[in-house]
This record gives sequence, structure tokens and C-alpha cells, in this order.
Amino acid sequence: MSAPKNVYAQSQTRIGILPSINYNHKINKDWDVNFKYESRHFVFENNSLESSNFKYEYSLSDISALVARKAGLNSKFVLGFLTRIEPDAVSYRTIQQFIFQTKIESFRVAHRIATDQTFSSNEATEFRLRYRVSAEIPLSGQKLDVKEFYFKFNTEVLNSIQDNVYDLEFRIVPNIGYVINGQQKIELGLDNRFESFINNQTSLISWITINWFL
Amino acid sequence: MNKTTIILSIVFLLLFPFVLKAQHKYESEYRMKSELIPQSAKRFIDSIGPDSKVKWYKEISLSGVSFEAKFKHKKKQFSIEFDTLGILQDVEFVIKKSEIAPKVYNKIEDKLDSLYQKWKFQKIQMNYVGSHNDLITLINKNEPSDAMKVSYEIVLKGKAPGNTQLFEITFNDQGEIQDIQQIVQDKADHLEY
Repeated sequence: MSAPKNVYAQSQTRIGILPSINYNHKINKDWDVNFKYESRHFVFENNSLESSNFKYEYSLSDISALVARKAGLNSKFVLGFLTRIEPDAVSYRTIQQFIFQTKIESFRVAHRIATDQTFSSNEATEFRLRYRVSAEIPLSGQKLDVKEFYFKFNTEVLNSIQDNVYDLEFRIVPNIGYVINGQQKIELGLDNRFESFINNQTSLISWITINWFL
Repeated sequence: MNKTTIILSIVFLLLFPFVLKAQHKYESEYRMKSELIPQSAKRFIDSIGPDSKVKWYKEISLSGVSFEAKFKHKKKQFSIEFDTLGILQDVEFVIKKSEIAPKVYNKIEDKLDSLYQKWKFQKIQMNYVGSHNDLITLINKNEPSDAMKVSYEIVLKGKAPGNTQLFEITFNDQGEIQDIQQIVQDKADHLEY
């Protein structure tokens, strides 16, 4: 729920709160739905040109709804919609994903290939193509059980194009998670985002994240 | 044929499709420190002298609680199960399908063809139940004794009309089905979303 943001290219550090609640519901053996709420609240800013101070600032909220259709034993197609609410603007995103799972020894790996399109009234539409790998390693035993900790590692590559400008971003996200019960999990992680690879103006943004799955 | 026989036959025919219907397999396991394992179980493993480090697990399933030692030995992946008192239950090791006797394999294949439209092996394990000495000889010299009870535990992906699931099927040494369990897959929403 808290997040430090380090934009090195601009010699700036921002720290914020980033709560995420992720609700998944199985409708039947083939279909499930996922609702997610995530918001960003900055509480600290450090700019090398100015003074650093603690200052609360609401940034944005994301609300998304996804519908998934099982494609095989360990794969699914997903369609969804996201609304991003900022203090002075609202944008919308359509999402398409294909997710499949594999298992290597005692850890599960999920692959997500996704495209999305973000529409807003004051910017050109942004198109993204992304691929994410998430690996789960149980910290007790060979499979994840209730009241056990696990390590989760996400890595993702994102291609985007907006106004004919192409950009490339990498994300590396280590997490420590805990299975509360059969339905709920909680995770603490560090979301590192390497942006603008193509323009040679790479910046790193790091977020500490807490995700609650229920 | 009297009335009772007819009724019993109808009931039996109605029930028969469910005889081989898969039960659900629920299992949780926890890594254990070797200090918490019964001495007799540790002594048995020590007497083998495994090639790799031994990992101990506590398994809780619908059939009860057990301890399991997993290790590599003689290029095989072993899993040896003990009850909570440290009494040896069975020895399992992973094999390739080519290691199943052709006659038995053909029977297994025929049976799986009759159960599923499509199927694919995920893992095959040989399971042996027998005396300490016989099992030690099996592990170290790969020489099974005729006195041991042998079965094949096969995890496979099976496609029935409109539905693909993971199953654990136990075949005896003649290639006859002993048990079918549908493996309940764990939630993966934290990996997917």
C-alpha cells in the first residue's frame, strides 16, 4: 500500500501509498471474473532542485473488470475494461489477454500475453503489447498451502506506441506473499519500472506494493 | 429372473458409471526439519545412503497424515512414505513410459483410450509395498522381489467431452485400474491478475 517512487533521470524521489484489492470469482468451470481496485496516494516528494517534504497528494484510482474464459487445462482468454480516475481527467482502457500456466519442479509459472488500448480526451490513444512471466516459489514444501509464505517474481516487457512514438518498458517485481486462507492472499513487493528504453532516457520508478487477493 | 434381481441389476447399472468416476484429490504438504521425523524413518533412509540431500515433508490428505522423504539416488527420483510412527508405507520412484513392460503398457493405453478422447502423461511413478529388506534391495540394486506389491501411479491430462482435467490414476502390475482421482488445482489468481 506504500510506494517510494525514484525517478533518477529527474533526480526525484516520490513515496506514496498504492493499495490494491483484487477480487476473483469463479462463475462456473469455464468462466471467471476479476475486479481490481488500485489507487495511488503520494505522501513524500524529494526533488534535488527544491526542498524535500512530506506532502499528501492523491494521484489516481484504477478500477478494472475482467472476464476470463478457460481455453485449456491451464490457459484462458481474458477481456476487460479499466477506468482510470485522476483529479482532472478520466481515461479508459480496453484489455485483451491470453494467460497460460506451466510448472517447473515445485514452482508454478504463469505467462500473460496482453494488449491494451488507452483512450482519453486530451491525449492520443496509446496502444500497448506486453508479456509478463510470474513465478511462484512456495517457501515451505513443494506446493503452496494455507498459512504458508511464498515468493513471487514478476517480470514484464511492455511495448507502447502513442502518437507514432514507440517506447519500451521493463518491470521487475519481487514479492513476498502469505496465504491467509483458501480465498485470500496478501503480498508485499517492490515494483521496479525501467521506462523509456528506446529514447536512451531510461528512468527507474520503484514502488513498494501491497496486494490483497480475495 | 425375479423382481428383486431385476431391481438390483437396474440399480447396479445406474451406479456403475460412478464406480470409476474420479474422486477429488486434496492434499497439503509442509517441509519438515529432519529433527522432527521419527527415528526409525530416518534410520531407514540412512541405511540407503542417498546420493542427494534428503528433503522431508509432512503430507495431510483425506487418507491421513504421513511423512515423506524425497531424494535422488542411482539417477532416480525417490519418494518414500512413512506413517506418523515412522513405519515404512511404500517406496515410489519416477519412471519413463518406456520402462513399463510393453504388455502392461498396452493395457494401460487401451484403458486410457476408452476413458478419454485425448490424454497425455504428466508423470509416472512406480509404487512398491513390501518388507524393509526387499525395498532396500529394490532401491540399491533395482531388483524387485516377487513378494512386493507393485503399482503404477500416473498423473495425466485427460480430455473428456468439453472438459480437460488432471487425474491421478493407479494401475496394478497387470495394467488394471485401481483408483482414479481428479487433482484439484490450486487457485492462481495472484499469478494471473
